[in-house]
Amino acid sequence: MIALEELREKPLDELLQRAWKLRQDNFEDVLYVSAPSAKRYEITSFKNSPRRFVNVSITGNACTLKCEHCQGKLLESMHHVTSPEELLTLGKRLIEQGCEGMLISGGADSEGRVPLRSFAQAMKELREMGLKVIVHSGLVGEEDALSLKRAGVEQVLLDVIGDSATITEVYHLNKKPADYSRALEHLKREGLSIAPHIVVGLHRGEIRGEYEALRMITEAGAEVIVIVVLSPLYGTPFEGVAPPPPREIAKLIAIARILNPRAKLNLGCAKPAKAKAEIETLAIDAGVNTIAYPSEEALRYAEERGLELRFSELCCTLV
Amino acid sequence: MELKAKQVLKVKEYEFPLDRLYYKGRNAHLWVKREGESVLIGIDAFLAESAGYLNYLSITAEKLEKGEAFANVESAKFVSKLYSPVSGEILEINQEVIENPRLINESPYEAWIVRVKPASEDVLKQEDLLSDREKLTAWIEEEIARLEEE
Repeated sequence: MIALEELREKPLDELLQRAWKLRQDNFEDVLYVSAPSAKRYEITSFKNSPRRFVNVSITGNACTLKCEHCQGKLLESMHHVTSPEELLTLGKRLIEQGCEGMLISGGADSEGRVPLRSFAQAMKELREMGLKVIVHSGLVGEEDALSLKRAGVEQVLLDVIGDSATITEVYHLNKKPADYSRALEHLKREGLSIAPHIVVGLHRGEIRGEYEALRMITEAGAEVIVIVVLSPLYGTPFEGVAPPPPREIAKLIAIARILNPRAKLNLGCAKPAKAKAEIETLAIDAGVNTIAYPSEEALRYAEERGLELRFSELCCTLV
Repeated sequence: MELKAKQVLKVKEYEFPLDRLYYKGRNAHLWVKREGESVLIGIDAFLAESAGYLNYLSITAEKLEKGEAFANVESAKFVSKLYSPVSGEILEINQEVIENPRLINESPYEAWIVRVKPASEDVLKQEDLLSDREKLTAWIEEEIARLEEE
């Protein structure tokens, strides 16, 4: 593997050129646009549906960790269920309304796990009804991974953190980066498709454990890597925190592309709105395959660079 | 100046001061208020509430054309455009609101977005600009039902 530390010493422009070349060598000239139903998305040429691909919280608004950057606020806009029966009822109703898939998420317990195990049978039934089901798992043990495998979920999304202080101070969790590596291993061992996420700037806007997280993900061999960026939320302790500079974010994305030339590399849904267009255009230079809810500026730029746009209402990890 | 209760229409939890017009076209949920020779344009309480806290607002047009997009707006659950209720020339952009779009959530009828010189007097006399209590109530009730379905 190319030494990550060596790459970090390189100037951004050199990294972007290498990353772009790798994208050209390994993928067709397409930029996928992902716009699932978690947000209403309307641009000149496309409008998404409110029910095509929905987010569901299996804990309602409840979360034990109350991480500094979220405090459970991201759960508020999801569909809420608190039992497998409610999940099935919701799934049946949404299918009738044209729903094609679900991201099943929820608040974490004190061990950093989303309590998905008791929903495994319901998820399996949803899959049998034809829904795509992906989960946001939090940390997983062997039993959790086995249960997700039995449920037949299409993919497992997991935020990977590479810094102990971030885990304790931001996530309020008594864990180490190695616990995230182990979670990835458990999931891979069961043959599950993983879509690890790196939240850039998670430590109060600092770049801290992101490169270690990237190293762990690269070692695990993910099919899809999702980069998201801290977007300080109103009413959380991180309100007012400055997200990392766009060029620092681009550097991480370019290095992710160089280290994982054949993995799908996505810029996910969380991005600070004010710098969004700049982050997105740099991410295009850095070789991303998919951007969630992109700005029209970024789409114009992608076309200028010779990329064809293809729109999808699925979660970016499934595009 | 504070309006008296009877000058404010309330449809469920949403309030609509009746000293202005509401643009129904394209489900835009923008209000237009005359101020002398110009008009102010802002977001109504329904959109301000249903979009969640706005974190981005930018003006993308130099001149307004009725029904055409003139701004981009974003929140945690909303990435969309604002469609102009009138044609006209932009005289002023409220930079305070551009810098801090959350002011719209906090006070939608104070936080105007643009001041516009209407292209003609007639632009304010359109069927899709509502001020009638009955028509406004019917439209907002439809919109609430649509939102609940989503």
